[in-house]
Amino acid sequence: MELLSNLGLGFSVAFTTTNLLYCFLGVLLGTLIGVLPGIGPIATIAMLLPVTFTLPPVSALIMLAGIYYGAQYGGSTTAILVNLPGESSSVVTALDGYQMARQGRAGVALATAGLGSFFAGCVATFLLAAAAPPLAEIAFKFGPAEYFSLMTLGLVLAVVLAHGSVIKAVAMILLGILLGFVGQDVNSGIPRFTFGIPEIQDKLEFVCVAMGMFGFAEIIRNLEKKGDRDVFTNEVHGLMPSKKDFKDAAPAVVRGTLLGSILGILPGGGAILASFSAYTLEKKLAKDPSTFGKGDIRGVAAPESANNAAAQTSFVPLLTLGIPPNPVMALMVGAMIIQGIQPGPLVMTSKPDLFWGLIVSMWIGNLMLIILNLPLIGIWVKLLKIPYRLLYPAILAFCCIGVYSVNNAAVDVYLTAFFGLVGYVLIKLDCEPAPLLLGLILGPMMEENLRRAMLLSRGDPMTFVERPLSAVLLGVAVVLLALVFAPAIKKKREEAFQEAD
Amino acid sequence: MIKIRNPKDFWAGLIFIAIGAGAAIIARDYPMGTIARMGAGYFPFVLGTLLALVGVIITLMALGADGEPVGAFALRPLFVILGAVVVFGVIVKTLGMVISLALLVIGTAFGGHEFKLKEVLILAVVMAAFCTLVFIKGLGLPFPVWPAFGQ
Amino acid sequence: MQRRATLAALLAGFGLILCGPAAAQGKYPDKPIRYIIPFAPGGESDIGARLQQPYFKKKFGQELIVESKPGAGGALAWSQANTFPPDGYTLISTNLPHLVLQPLEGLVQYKTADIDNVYFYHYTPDAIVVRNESPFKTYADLVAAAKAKPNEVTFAGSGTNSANHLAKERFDQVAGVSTSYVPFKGTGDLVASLIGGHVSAAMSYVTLAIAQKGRARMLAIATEKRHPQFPEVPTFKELGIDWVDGAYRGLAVPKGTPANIRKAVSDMFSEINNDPEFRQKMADGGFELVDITVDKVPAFMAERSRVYVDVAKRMGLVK
Repeated sequence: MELLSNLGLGFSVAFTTTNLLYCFLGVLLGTLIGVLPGIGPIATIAMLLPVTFTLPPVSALIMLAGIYYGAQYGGSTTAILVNLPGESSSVVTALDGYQMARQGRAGVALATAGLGSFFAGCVATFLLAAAAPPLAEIAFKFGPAEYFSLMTLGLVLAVVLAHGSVIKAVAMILLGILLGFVGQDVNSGIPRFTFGIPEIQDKLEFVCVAMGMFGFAEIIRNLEKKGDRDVFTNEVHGLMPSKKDFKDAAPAVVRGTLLGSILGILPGGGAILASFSAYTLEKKLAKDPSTFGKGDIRGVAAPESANNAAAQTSFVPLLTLGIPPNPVMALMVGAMIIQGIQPGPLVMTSKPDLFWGLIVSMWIGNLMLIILNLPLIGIWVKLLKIPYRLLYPAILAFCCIGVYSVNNAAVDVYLTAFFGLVGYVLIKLDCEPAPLLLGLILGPMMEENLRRAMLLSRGDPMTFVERPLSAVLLGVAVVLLALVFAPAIKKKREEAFQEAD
Repeated sequence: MIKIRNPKDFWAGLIFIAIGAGAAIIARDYPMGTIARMGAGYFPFVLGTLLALVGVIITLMALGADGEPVGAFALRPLFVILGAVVVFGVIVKTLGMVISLALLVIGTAFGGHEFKLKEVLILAVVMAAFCTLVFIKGLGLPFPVWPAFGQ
Repeated sequence: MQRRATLAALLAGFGLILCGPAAAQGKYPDKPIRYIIPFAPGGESDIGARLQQPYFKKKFGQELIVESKPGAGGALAWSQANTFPPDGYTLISTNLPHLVLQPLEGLVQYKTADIDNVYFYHYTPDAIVVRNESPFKTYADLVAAAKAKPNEVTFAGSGTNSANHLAKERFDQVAGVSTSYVPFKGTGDLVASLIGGHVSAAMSYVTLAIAQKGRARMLAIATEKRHPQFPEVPTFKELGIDWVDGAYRGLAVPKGTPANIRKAVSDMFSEINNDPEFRQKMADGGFELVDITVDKVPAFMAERSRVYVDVAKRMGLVK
């Protein structure tokens, strides 16, 4: 039973006082920023990156991971009580969760979200532990051609599942990859697209783009509309779901967990995608879909389980292949490199304590989260009473400190403001920023692997289809792309997203 | 007569064409290399061209199908908030965390719809104190607390 | 009013900045030092720095914060070396022959003279490393394969115009073959490709074979005598090839750092290098220690530059 002894090692690492403390800090912070709309794990992790310099690697990663999955718990609270997603992955939870709150069932909705997340967290932890070692072995079969094909598949997936226009999502991905070229070429050291600005000689700081396009642009868009929202803060009572609730919610939780776990592993996936897909799936499976959007408990259970499962399984590609499947994982790569760990298949063998300690800490973290979120719900509710007009300056302040502290450079703050402007214009033109960000993350790795693959094949592009693993990955990508452009599916997809809006 | 039937897509398409073409033109100044030994300009040139082409498709499609008009821009939040952020970047190193952060909070709050001076001043003070305690004292981020003469 | 206050504050601030440094200078080092590694984690520069880290803390009471900035075979970080404050609180790890060869080619954004090296602390001998399952059992196998299929044998290495790149060109020349070089962001970055068998071999150092013991083995090594940890691996000399070379690693400070601080850095790292426990750990990892202090650096650089330029010309790496 190698798995057991590995988990044993993980427990011995995660159960030290220091690591328990950092785990707690991480999930607490995660819940906090999850509850607060506008500030998410990206800003928080960016802000804490310089601090993790001085921590031991295991503690640093345990804490940062806690922030990510902790935010998934916190996000649902805001979605249910305020009809505003605390996290973008809780957008769909708001649909039925808020309706439940209006019917006086806020407590049940919160409990369902919490318990569903906990179940998903446990399953995902186990999956991570069981699936990572064989995947790390397969990872050695991944040469440059396979890496390139896998990342192409990830980008295609992001296009398929993006909101709105497919062709504009393609354009946003290409734009993201182009932004990824800014800075010195990895092979030759020639500066590209730097326009003589010394601070971007290295690369365009990813945090600036992410924070500008998501944080800043989003806040400006929110300020377009006037008025505050109703907060159902006084009606949180009766946490326990009834027998019927339980019967309805349990299968949805299981389905959400499975779907979320799978989508988390794929590059381009992650928590946001998982919750959207889980909601759509539930609606498709329901005998009477008309109850959705009117306070159906399944509409809370499935997406909340899915986003938490995905948040955790998205560590799989990071730890086995070294590919960050989403922006938060891209920051985790930074955290690992700072600590002297090269993300990839060697992490498990060269740093087993870190690998297994991190996995076990996730389970402990989920346990802490269920305690933090259910009995202490009152505290989080109080936070939500702060009006938005006071909340957003505070969020902007945190973002600015976070951006500045990444490199201690004022230029990063200016860049963030610039991308805030760009992001706002693009939002106005209905161009979703998420695919751009993924392109920015995967672009440099794609170029590196493309060039390497071409060197190895001596300039023969057939290498991508001659190597079986690469051919399969590209084949799936082509099929997916063909499906989106096929008229029938296109229509269905639009319907699904309209319902989710 | 060409009619712009989907303004959002039309403008988005034009932006993509401009950026894509620009990138491809700039990339031509970098060493191209061969397909086996790609230079620094190879992949950027290909992708820039591709983006421009996709832009052309989007623009053309915008002439054929109807879409919503581009909504009004929220110019006040846009410029006030981004301006306040830039000012923060300019002054934080010289004036220190407390003053720059308070100014940032007041400045960004001014970009909203309601501006109650008393409320905002309290928020500014609370935020400045909180961030100084947490980020500088607690987490040890290398910001100066006060302007240089205050020490 | 606001503006006047700001202006006053600004002026006062500038005044203090101007007369500040003299008053502010305490004992060096009195705060943590940033130590920039221009390669991916898990490579020689990174391992070396992490071995130095605890001894630095123990001896000088300050944290040495290791930070990776990989890219362009080190050139990415080196071209920024002089943008950091020259106060002794930012150190940059440097490599030879990279520092000499890269500027010769002319594409990188720094010149050899831009880098203010203050100390060189170790040396790693070149070695040809293959994965355990590799069909190449000996150096002769590899040469035969390269002869049979020109350009099909591929070498992974760290960086362009680096020690590994030079070594690969040298191999081509002495063996009379033509092979392909595939650059990575550092030795740590190429390990997975080597172990996965996506490249035929790695042109690397003895240190890689030690770090990946059990998964990779060496075909030949560029030392005078056989390595004590690998008595079974032949030297190039034994194979009839005049090849004793490798990469030196040292530390640089941003240009303009005061002489006393340059000396202090050199002294501190020299002291670490003389610690018996540290020496043992380095030796176990396959690093050969050298002690080129700040006063010896100019002569050392001049001598090494001459050698590298000469070799590179013979290899056709530069004109």
